Amino acid sequence: MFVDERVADGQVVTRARTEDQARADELGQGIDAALVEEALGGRLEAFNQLVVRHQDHLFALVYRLVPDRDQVADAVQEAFFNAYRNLASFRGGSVKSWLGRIAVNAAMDMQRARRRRPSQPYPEFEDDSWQPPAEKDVEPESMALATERSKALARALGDLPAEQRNCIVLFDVEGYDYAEIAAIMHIEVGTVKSRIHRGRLSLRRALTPNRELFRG
Amino acid sequence: MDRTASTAHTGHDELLIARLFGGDVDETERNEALDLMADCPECAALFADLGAIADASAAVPIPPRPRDFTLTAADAARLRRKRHVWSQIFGAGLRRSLGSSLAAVGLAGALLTGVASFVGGAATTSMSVLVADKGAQAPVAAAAATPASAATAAGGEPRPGAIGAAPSGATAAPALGPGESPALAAGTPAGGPDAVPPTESTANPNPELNGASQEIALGGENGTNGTSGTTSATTEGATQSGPDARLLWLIGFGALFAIGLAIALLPRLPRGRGRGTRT
Repeated sequence: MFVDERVADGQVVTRARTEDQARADELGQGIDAALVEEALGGRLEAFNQLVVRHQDHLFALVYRLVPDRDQVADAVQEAFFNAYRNLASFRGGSVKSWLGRIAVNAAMDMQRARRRRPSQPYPEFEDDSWQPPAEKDVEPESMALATERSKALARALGDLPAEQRNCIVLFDVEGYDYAEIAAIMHIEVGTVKSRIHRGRLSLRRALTPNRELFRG
Repeated sequence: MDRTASTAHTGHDELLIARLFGGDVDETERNEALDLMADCPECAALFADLGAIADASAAVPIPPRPRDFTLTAADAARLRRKRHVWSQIFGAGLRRSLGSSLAAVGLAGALLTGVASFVGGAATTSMSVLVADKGAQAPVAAAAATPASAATAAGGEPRPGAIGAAPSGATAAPALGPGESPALAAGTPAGGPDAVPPTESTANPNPELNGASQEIALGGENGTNGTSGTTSATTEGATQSGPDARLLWLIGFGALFAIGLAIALLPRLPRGRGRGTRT
């Protein structure tokens, strides 16, 4: 049946992605741990190697959380500043997750700051200056469809309350589970679940006019 | 159960479908949701849409990083300085600040107590002088009001050493204002048989001084001897209860000063992994 297969497929895909991430984390953890120790010893180069290893991931994460594109780079830079400042508080484990938590907090601080200044312009993913590079084997029509889909989705995500958007991005994109998101955002697991479910329903309602883009 | 209305299938539990997609259902709810999707094409479409949106969210292209986020040496120095300042404030700095504050409060309190003691003593003396002045004026007023009585007293035989004995208790008493305290009355030379006994200074064995005191009793203005005698008595009474309380305050503030100094100046206890170990 479609539903059973879909549910099964969804679970399998999710699990496979999580396992890949875990494996990658394990591989990189030794390197990260050594770099952290060196950075704690006062070597700035070691910390900058950590930055180089994780800056793409953090930028992608914050890009999905902060609708204002101009603020993404600032939030990421602030996250690395905070990481350097609080390196001594790192208690082992995955450096990637630790940096991710710091980046999420920086992004949320940025969102709160913007909420306090509502008079600021609200670009909301409206910037069309950047287009994803065209892939060789992808037909132009498919490429245009993907671009439209991404724009519509980004717009709908930008219209969601920040709390729901953060939870959805952390769950669907970053692969965190409910408990991890609750720990990162300092809220109850039930609240995380509720935000994700309701946020998804809101997204779906917002994207109803563009439903065909997602069924192609 | 919270139901989110939909135009196509009002009454169906959209949230249950969303929870099924998120893997947030128990076995009973799962079966219920699957039955719902099997019977309702809109519920099945909702489930499919949620999957498509989740996949598309993960696939949203990310623009290239606008710049490199590595830290410069200046950044690192600034952040180290900031961290050092915060650790000073909330680490050893906080301890020193707290100790210094306590010491300052203790010192200020001790000084204030000392000053208050000094000023308070002077104020008490001034008050006593004022009281004594009023007491000295009482017979004057009495003498002015009842010259006959004064004349009678002046005409009688002087009783050596009995300056506390007023010319007439009946005439001296009305001279007191209605608000004046008994102490004021006690301080006055006027008094009947039940009057406060004269002080030593007033009961001066020196006949000359007794004579002067007698002048006071008769309404003379040069009552310095009697006045000073009353002043010394009052001051002595006032200072009997003061020093104990002031001493306690002084000891308390002194202890505070010492504790503050100890907190501020004692060496820091060693810790396992201090932030100061790293540069």
